[in-house]
Amino acid sequence: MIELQNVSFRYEEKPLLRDLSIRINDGELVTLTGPNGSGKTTLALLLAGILQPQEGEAMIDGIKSSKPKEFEAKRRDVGIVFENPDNQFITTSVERELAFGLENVGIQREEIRKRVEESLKRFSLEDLRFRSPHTLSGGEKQKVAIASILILAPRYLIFDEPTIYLDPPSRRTVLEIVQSLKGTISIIFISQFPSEIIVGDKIYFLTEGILEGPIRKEEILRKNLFKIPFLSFLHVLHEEGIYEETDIPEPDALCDVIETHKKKISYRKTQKNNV
Amino acid sequence: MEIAFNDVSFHYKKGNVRGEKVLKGLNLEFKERKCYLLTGPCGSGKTTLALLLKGLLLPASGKILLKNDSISLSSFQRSIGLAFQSPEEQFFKETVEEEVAFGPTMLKLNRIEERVKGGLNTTGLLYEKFSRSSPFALSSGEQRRLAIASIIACEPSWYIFDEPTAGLDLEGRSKIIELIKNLMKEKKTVIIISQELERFIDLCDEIIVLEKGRLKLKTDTRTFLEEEKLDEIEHSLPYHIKVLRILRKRGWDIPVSITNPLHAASIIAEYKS
Ligand SMILES: Nc1ncnc2c1ncn2[C@@H]1O[C@H](COP(=O)(O)OP(=O)(O)OP(=O)(O)O)[C@@H](O)[C@H]1O
Ligand SMILES: Nc1ncnc2c1ncn2[C@@H]1O[C@H](COP(=O)(O)OP(=O)(O)OP(=O)(O)O)[C@@H](O)[C@H]1O
Ligand SMILES: [Mg+2]
Ligand SMILES: [Mg+2]
Repeated sequence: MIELQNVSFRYEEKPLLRDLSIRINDGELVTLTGPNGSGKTTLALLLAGILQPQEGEAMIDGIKSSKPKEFEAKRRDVGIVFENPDNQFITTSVERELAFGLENVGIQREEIRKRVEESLKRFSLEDLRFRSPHTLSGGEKQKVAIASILILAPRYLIFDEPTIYLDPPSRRTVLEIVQSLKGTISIIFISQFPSEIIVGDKIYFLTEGILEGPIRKEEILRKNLFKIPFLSFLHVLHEEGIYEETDIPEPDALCDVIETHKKKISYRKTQKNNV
Repeated sequence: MEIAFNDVSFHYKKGNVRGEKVLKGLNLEFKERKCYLLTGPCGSGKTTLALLLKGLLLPASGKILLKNDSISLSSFQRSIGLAFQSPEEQFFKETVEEEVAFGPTMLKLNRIEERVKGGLNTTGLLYEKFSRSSPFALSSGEQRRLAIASIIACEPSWYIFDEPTAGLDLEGRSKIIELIKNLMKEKKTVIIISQELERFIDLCDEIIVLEKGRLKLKTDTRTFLEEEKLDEIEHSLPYHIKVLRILRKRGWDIPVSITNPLHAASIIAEYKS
């Protein structure tokens, strides 16, 4: 369990977060969204123990941030993929970047090599293994940033908008990985992408330092809270009685539903005509 | 006016031991007053292409040509407004206000204060709240807005926006769309680099797709969507277009180049087989 309890935070004089509490239980996938500047990254850094609140506490497994020694040890269980990958890189090659954290906790060399190879493959980074992380393209950097945290298999994972430069297939891979981790570790995933936001078991919304939620996925979809083009598309089909569910189907599955609907209609028509 | 890439190749020297080319024999041209969407997988060379266009990198082989004799290539390139993919690479002033004022001041333009306020307003960064903040202490979405504002304040005729909506919230995204619409009305030339096809497909005249440093596709938007061989980039298409394409493959006699999702939905609703 990782949480913030009645936390207030300000940079210099400007108050940002006021009396904010949030708890992510073991195995839970929590997604967080909200306007630019609302404090999402700040909240992530507080959870990870990188920033200290002026009031209130950050807690990991019940250990409070006000007990620096014990908290420091707990902090190692938290992996964070930074919003800006450049702030995260510490080595001079992609391969070393992936191995670094594992070496630090004393894992055996054979095991490290195995995990690094798996990870390179999973993110299609094989060709980039000798490259310096700082010279990669924006999307390549994000892949390395994500891979180098995932490889550590931390108990708590924080993703701060990790996919903004990824192409759609890579974005999908990340989403699949995150969903496959559901139930095993605690994840907080910050995003502006509707397709990512709605995978949360709990969905939170941060506006001007005030945390709202959890909001139900159905509510987001039905009200089209994020003005998503494909939701307005589904809404029309919904109103026309073609698509009845609230979930977002794969395009193929939706086409099946549409065709079934059309067949029903033409069947009804021929019935009428026969009468 | 038109700028053309003539068999342009490029490789990075620093940090590239094997000297691998990241752009390979590119032939393409950009015409005045058009809006282009440049897309393609991570690492396909989009940002590199932007840097070459702007003259910040030079081709290893091939040529970049300007089809106009009243201005030199290098002064034309200098006049292009490029908003970087990582905004903080663009910043070097101590306050937001100075950052936006810098470009117009260097260009000896008039009405500097008006330009600063106008630029910030266009991207939705409140002048009163942020004018004295350090560009480096902004949130990432705020930084992106600042980077774009600094370009707008110079009012160039050609714009390159490298991932202009990445990390922006809903309001920020609509601001960018509005901005691009206005630039098109003002007869400017705009090149948008983005993974968010869905967002821009409505606005742009042409779509350019790069893959592994090569030109994979360059067509006008309509032809692009009607194209049958698009399958490989099917996953980047907007949801409703995927649906239209599947239905057509299943024998429906419908157009697929419908950029508006509501229109697409009504076509499906009214269709009689
Ligand atoms: N180091 C800093 N010093 C002063 N103010 C800061 C600092 N870092 C952030 N801020 C301000 O605090 C507010 C919250 O920033 P934060 O990065 O947490 O927002 P965010 O919700 O992550 O935004 P975005 O969606 O743009 O990433 C912003 O208005 C920002 O300008
Ligand atoms: N400074 C550099 N040194 C060596 N190689 C580089 C450098 N900068 C970029 N590259 C490589 O050149 C290729 C093209 O990079 P570029 O940044 O143009 O891609 P991109 O299409 O913009 O990708 P993204 O969508 O991820 O931003 C990538 O494989 C990248 O690793
Ligand atoms: Mg942030
Ligand atoms: Mg790029």
